[in-house]
Amino acid sequence: MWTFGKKIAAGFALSFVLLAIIGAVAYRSLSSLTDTSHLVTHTHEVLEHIAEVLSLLKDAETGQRGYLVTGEDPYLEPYQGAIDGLPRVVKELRQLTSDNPNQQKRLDEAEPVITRRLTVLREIIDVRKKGGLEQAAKTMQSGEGKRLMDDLRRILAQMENEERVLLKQRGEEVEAAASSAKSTIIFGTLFCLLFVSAAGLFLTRSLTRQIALAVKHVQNSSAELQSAANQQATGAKEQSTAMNEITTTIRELLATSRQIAESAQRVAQIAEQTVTAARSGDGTVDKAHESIAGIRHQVDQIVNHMLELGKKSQQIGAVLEIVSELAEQTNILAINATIEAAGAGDTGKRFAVVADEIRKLADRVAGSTKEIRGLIDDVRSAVNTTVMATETGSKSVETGSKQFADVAVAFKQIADLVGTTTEAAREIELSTKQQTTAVEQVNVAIANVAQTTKETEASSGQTLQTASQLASLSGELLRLVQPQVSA
Amino acid sequence: MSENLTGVIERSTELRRAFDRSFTETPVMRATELDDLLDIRVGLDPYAIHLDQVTGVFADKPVTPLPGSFPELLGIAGFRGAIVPVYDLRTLLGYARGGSQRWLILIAGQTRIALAFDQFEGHTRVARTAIVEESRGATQRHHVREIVRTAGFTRPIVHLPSILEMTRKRAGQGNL
Repeated sequence: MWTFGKKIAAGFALSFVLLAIIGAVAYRSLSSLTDTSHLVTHTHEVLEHIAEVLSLLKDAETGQRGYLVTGEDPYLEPYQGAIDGLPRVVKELRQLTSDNPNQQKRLDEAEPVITRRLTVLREIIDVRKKGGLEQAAKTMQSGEGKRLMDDLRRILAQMENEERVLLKQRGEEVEAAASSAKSTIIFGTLFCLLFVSAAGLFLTRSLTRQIALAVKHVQNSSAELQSAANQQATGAKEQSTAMNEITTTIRELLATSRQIAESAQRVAQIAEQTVTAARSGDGTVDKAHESIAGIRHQVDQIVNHMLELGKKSQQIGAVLEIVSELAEQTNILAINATIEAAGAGDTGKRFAVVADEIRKLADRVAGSTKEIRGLIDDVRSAVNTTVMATETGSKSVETGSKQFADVAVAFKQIADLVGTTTEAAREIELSTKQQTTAVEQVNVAIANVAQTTKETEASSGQTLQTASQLASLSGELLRLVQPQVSA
Repeated sequence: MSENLTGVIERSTELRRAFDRSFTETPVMRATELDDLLDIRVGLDPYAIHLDQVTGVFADKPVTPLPGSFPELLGIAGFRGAIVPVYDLRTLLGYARGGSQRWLILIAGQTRIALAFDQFEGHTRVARTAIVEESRGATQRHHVREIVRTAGFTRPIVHLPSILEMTRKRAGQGNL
């Protein structure tokens, strides 16, 4: 699958290669044309130097003839200019034709002729100066000057002809190079235009199709993204609400954790106090154990004393029976004495009074005896009840002592368990503090998450807005790319 | 317990004081309008006996039973050197036989007999106006002619002469 960049790069690369080829060909043609033009110019320079050599020689002849005619020196100025310029021109001509052996050869042939001609001219001028006009005319009539000039004209004509041939040849070459450059530029440009047009058309169609497809995908994706952004925004709002609730819950949880931590701390303190109390209670239990043993001993003594008291009561009862019988007998005796006193008449009346008092006393003693018997019965009953209660109490004390021993063992177990409970309460306190710290960290993290959720909510709104803009832009782009489809 | 003990101490003090007073005060002559009665119980019922109809009160006298068909006669006992028949007051008053009957009274008169009963309660002195005749009717008890009314209750008085008359008649019939 060719990417846009590859296709465009390939198109531009081919265009660049074609332009480079066309440029290289055109450059080569123009270089050839320039070289050929330089050769033409060179040929023109050679021709100019050939013509200048001939012209300078003509100037020398002209100056010699003017001097011959006038005999005045100013007419020798052309001659003198030719004498000065010819060596330079010949030298330049030799340099210009250094690449042409034929022309060098002709220069080798022409150069002595030129020197001789100038010598001849000098000789005639010298003759004119010395011998006058006639002598000079005679010297001239020898015809050597004309012959030298004819040879020189012939040589220079050969050189000129050759240069003309070269000029013609190089002109044709220039014409061919120019034609070739024109053809190269025209056809290359046309080919490039065709190729670039075809590549542009191809790229346009291909890229349009692909861009349209991609834009449709982008449009669909934008719609999906818009929908997703809507859902995300809704979810972000719900998440934000949920995070607020979670934050509130975490705060309540934090408060509860702190309360639990405080309660656990109080529990630990109370447990420590309980341990102290349990240790104190342990000592108290031992003391109570000793006290119970003392109580048991005292109860045994009470039982013995009560039994002794019961025996004494029985003895008192026995004595009281005697007293009661005595009172009864006294009563009987008193009654009988009263009866006897009544039978004794007036003399017995005083005795009857005493007997009556004795009877009353006996009655009272009998009544008191009854009361004492009742009291003794009460005492005996109380003693029996007390003995039974004391025996029951002794048994209860014994049972209680055993139970208290069990209680002491249980209390020691409780003290040990309280110690274990204290350790557990401390661990709970520590764990609760750690939990509180963790909850505080969670609270901070939740606060950060809540902040992030709010930012996410804002970002979701921005994403939704961006997705809407992207959908609109993709629609506009699709209209730009495929107006007939989008219309 | 302490209240009972305090009461006993008070009673003993009162007894001592009364005993001492009986020897310090001038003897008071017996009022003629008072009657002496012996309070007894026959079975569970209270009865009274005129003291002037009795010559002696005894307790736990050994009674020797006698063979015979007279159910009221318990036996004979010795009283101050004399053999006296002992009758069962319960039976004479119409009660069924039984009980310990450890108390005995010796009836005054020509014919000396003794009556046995269950319980001797004491000697009381009542105004003569408190003794009234028992109303005669269908429910009249044996050997009861009077009753004494004191504060709170009524006690029939055993009529010893009728008992003596009855025993005399029985003895005359040769049943004794």
